[in-house]
Amino acid sequence: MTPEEPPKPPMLAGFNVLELAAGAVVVIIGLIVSAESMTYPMGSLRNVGAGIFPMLLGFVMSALGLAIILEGRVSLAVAPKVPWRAMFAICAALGAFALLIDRAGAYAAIFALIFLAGLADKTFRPVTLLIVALSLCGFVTALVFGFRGMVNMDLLPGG
Amino acid sequence: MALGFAVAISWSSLWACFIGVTLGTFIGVLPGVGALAGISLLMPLTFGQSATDAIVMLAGIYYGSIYGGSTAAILLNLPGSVTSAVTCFDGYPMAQKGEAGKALAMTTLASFIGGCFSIVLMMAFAAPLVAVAQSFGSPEYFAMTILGLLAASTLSQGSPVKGIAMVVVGLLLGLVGTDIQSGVARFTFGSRELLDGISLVVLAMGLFGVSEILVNFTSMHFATTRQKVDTSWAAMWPTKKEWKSTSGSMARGSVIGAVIGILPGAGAAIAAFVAYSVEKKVSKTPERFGNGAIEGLAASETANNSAAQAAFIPTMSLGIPGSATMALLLGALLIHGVQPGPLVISTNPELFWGLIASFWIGNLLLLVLNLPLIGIWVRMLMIPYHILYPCILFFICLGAYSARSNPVDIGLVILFGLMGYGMKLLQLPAAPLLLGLVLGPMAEEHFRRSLLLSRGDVTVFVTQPISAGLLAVAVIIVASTIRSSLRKRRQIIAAQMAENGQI
Repeated sequence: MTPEEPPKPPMLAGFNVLELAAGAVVVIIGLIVSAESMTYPMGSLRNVGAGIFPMLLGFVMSALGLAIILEGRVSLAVAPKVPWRAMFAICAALGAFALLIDRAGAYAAIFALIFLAGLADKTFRPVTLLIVALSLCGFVTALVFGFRGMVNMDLLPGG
Repeated sequence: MALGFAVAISWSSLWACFIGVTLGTFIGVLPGVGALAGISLLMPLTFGQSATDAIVMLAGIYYGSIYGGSTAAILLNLPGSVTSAVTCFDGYPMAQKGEAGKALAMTTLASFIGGCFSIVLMMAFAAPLVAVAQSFGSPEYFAMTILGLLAASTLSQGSPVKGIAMVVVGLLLGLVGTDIQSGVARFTFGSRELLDGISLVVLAMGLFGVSEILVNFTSMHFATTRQKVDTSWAAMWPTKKEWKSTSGSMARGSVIGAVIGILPGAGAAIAAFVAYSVEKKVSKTPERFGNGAIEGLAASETANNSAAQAAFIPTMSLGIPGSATMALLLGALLIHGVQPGPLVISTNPELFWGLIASFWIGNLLLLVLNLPLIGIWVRMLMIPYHILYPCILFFICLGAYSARSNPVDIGLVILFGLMGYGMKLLQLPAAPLLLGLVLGPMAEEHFRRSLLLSRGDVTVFVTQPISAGLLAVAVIIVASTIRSSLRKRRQIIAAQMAENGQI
């Protein structure tokens, strides 16, 4: 096999699985939206309530989802490899920042963010990350003291 | 216009413009950070400023990033942003021939000329467009929003059906929160944080910032070699002969860029591509294209900047953004309490003319700053991604958190980041979604108001001539894209059959 040859797309009953998934997701969300909209006041045509516009959009969306599935029959789309490691590391990094910023202050949050984010890379570089984290801490300090009012965050726990 | 310069020359605006173009160029140069991600990252910076300074700065970031993208394209054959993909064709071969300095100088000059052309056009077009738009009622606005959204989502690359589907998703996301007219909480699922609606900044940061990092981990090409750049004046300034050969290209590039830039959905990248192919057709020596033809570089660079500026015309005068970047700028204006549209010129003249005047100043700043700064940009290109992405993540957190001092917003960024990455995997385009989000509330309001004014008569959209015309154009666009996609499908099926027949 030559490296230029594209990998064969996964097929399911004549449908490209990837496109099938894309379409199905759109159809399902459309249906959920329509169903949810129907619980809102509908009003009348003269005085359109909160539910009508989203309900219409939900229907349109489901129809478009079906169109995506049909269109995808001849698609040659192949899913790229998902970088699971990077994905988890980055979500963990952002999540840690969110959890720590109010409880432990900006410095702790930055260190958690940078070092967890560093795990996304295949080679872990503690020294580089330390330098990045320290310079960002310096940056935040300057921001908090230099532009009072623009950025409101505690630098240290309970500060 | 005098008012505009008075505003734009004020210290705060000059400063905003300077910061904007510098940061923009910086973002454009950095590999793996596009204009969209850059603007969404830097948007919180502008919240403390006046509306005029904010838009001046964001606009500066936008056209600065397009310029910066070209620098990366020329020196490393890596387009820093999509708009400069065409710049690679001739810019990189020029750099390989040792003419990097000249290519960069040409880019700067061509960008300046293209930008100026569209600014003049914008000044000329603003008044008549506003006159037309002022005769618009709610049905017309609704029809125009639909047309703008459909055109923008079907003309861009990829499947038009997916584009439209994502616009609808965006429209729905725009409806999340408290319904302004009835006070009903929609799609909040009991969450108090969502009552205010989904923040544009949070969505854009997740959708374009976080997911872009994830995509870069999937496929990333990095610079490893440093190009030597002769930044002496003599090497950079084009010769008389080059001026002569490129003046025609720049003129054509400006016009092509402006026309395409005004159209919704097409945008700077397509403008550059069209201008380049036109130039190749016009040229007597088309074989030089792709091997360092300065005309090709000049044409594509004038076109992408001309288009970038022209895109402001519909955004500012009609309030209908043609691209996701424009939607972000529009959203920023809304956050500042300015409703973009035909009334902006009369209610906020300082903002409108100040912005236009700032384009001149910004383009001039790019010209003055960048020629001497090219050496610094070259060094910027070498920042390794393993240092860059933690920093980007930090700025995402800082921006998302500082808007409301609410950590939940960072959680939403994660959510939208994963959603954005999922959409990339399923090849669902994210840009139309952003357009929908910004225009969603407006579309619904005009829809409801039209029906209210017509006493519940749904035909109001087709009995009003302007609205009917706009909707007819929308139908034609949809019909023609369906036709072309069906034709493409038939071709693929025919090709597959032929292949199977051979085996």
